[in-house]
Amino acid sequence: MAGLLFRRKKRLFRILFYFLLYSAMFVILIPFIIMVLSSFMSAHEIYLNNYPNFHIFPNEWNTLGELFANYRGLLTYKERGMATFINSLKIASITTIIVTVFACLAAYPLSRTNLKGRNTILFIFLFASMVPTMAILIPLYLQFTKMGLYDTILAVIIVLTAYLLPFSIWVMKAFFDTVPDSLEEAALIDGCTRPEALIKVIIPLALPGIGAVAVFAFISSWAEFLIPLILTRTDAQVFTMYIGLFVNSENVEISKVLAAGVISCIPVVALALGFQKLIVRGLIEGAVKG
Amino acid sequence: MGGLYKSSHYYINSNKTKGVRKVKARKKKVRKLSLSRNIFAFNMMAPAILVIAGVMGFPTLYAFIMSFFKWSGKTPQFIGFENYLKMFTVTDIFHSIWITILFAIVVTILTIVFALFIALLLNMELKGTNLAIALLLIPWAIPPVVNGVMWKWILDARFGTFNNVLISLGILHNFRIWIKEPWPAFLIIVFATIYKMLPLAAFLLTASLKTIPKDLYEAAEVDGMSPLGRFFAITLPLIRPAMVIIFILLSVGTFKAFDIIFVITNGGPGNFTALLNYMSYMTTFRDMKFGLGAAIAFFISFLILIICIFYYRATYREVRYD
Repeated sequence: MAGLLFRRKKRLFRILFYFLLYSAMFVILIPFIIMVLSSFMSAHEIYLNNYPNFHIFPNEWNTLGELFANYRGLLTYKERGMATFINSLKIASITTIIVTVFACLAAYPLSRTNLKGRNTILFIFLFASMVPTMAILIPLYLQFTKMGLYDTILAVIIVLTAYLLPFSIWVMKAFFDTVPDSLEEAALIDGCTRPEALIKVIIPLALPGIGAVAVFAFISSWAEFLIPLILTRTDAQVFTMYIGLFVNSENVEISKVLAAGVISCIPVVALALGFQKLIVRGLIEGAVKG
Repeated sequence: MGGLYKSSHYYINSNKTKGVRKVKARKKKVRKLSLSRNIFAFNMMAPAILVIAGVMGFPTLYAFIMSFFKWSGKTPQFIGFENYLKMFTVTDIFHSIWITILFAIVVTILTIVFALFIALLLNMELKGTNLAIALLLIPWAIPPVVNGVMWKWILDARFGTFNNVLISLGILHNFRIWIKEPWPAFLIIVFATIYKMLPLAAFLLTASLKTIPKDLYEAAEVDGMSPLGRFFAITLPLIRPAMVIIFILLSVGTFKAFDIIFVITNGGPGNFTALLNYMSYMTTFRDMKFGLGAAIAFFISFLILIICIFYYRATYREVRYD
């Protein structure tokens, strides 16, 4: 009898925990849901959206075309939106490739050799995250202007690469460390050279880590705001900068800004959900072991 | 440790029986090999080190030197520590410093509390934990600028959800412009930042909770410890290393807060929510005072470094239950 009561109590607690977990998730998602729903409202509807006519769900849905009016407007006649979107895409993908390759190369010796000063190098990388971004952007701005790189995609890519590399190297090293030494030694005995061993043994085995680094690099460079804000003006403007300046300009239709915001979330949220396990593991490896 | 390190040692040891001379020759060979290995290693690290040194190392040095110069005219003028002194007199930096510290404290405490709550729930092995993790990844993936836009819209005075819901519930009687009031504006920034930081902190704590051996809890249960007692005696001390990392991440994140302020409040009302990094931005790129801006930026890095050392010293004690 006592056991039954105990079990019932335990079950009750379990139900409570389920309730708590899902309500926490719901609360966390509410702001995002509101943004997505509002992005479908027309300007007219937004300005009617006032107590007591207040609503969260857009209710002027007549045709499908009207529903996506904000999005269509953003991607067609507002050319800047489209151009900046493409710039962001270019910058994020090129940066991702460079960061992944460089981090792979740098993490290999840090993980596999008894290099002198290995720990010092790793610590210098760690301190790089404390460098005052605002301060280094001034000399970079002056230098890039002198070199004619101001307001080019290349300038943003270079700075972003340096900015993301230290953390990427830490994560990559942590993943390389998980590949057993014996496999590589076997490959070396079989006559592989070191670069061959890296390509044929380590990289295939550390592929999840490489994937994690690549996804991080993409998400971070897609979201970056400060670096392009200072190093670009018009031609190389990126999507986040477009949104940030758009929302603070006068007479702006908030629903269009929200639509732009939702568009900018699509690639990164899709990536995050698609590579969920990899990302969570990568976050943990990078922060805990690093 | 690297594989080569171990294997070369093994090599030397296995030859011990074959006489000292041979061992010495081997050692020489190994040293030669390891030298070529070092060159090989440096070659592989070269691209990364070059980019990092070029983009971060050199400009840091340049900016540091710059912080000792006055940049208003064409030729920079050496003024020693004047920028660092001027920093404390000209701009309303004291407000900025204390509001930044308050911001860091509030964000850190609330994030840790919420994250711990979520991590404990995620650690219970309930059904659908994976779904919860996936949902939790969404705020992490949203770009900070969009996060700012989102909160700005929700807290919009007339059309935002927040005000309208409060009025519908009868809590509020007329529309209030939250971002034009000092403390509400501050709280908006706090919540937007927590929203962004929470997932990472929760993941780290979940991972840390998973490493705690289950038999510790069983032993404590046998000893008649209450669940709350178990939490304070076992859980909290053992997740301390993860806590230190979260503290450091949050300190760096809060002291460098920029995007969200730029989008939501623009530092206003007045300079109330102009945290240090935003102040540095305004001094540098609006007022074009490069030297002064650099001085503030270095001051931020200095504060971050102090805080990290403090956390590390204060909380990083190894806990063992053998």
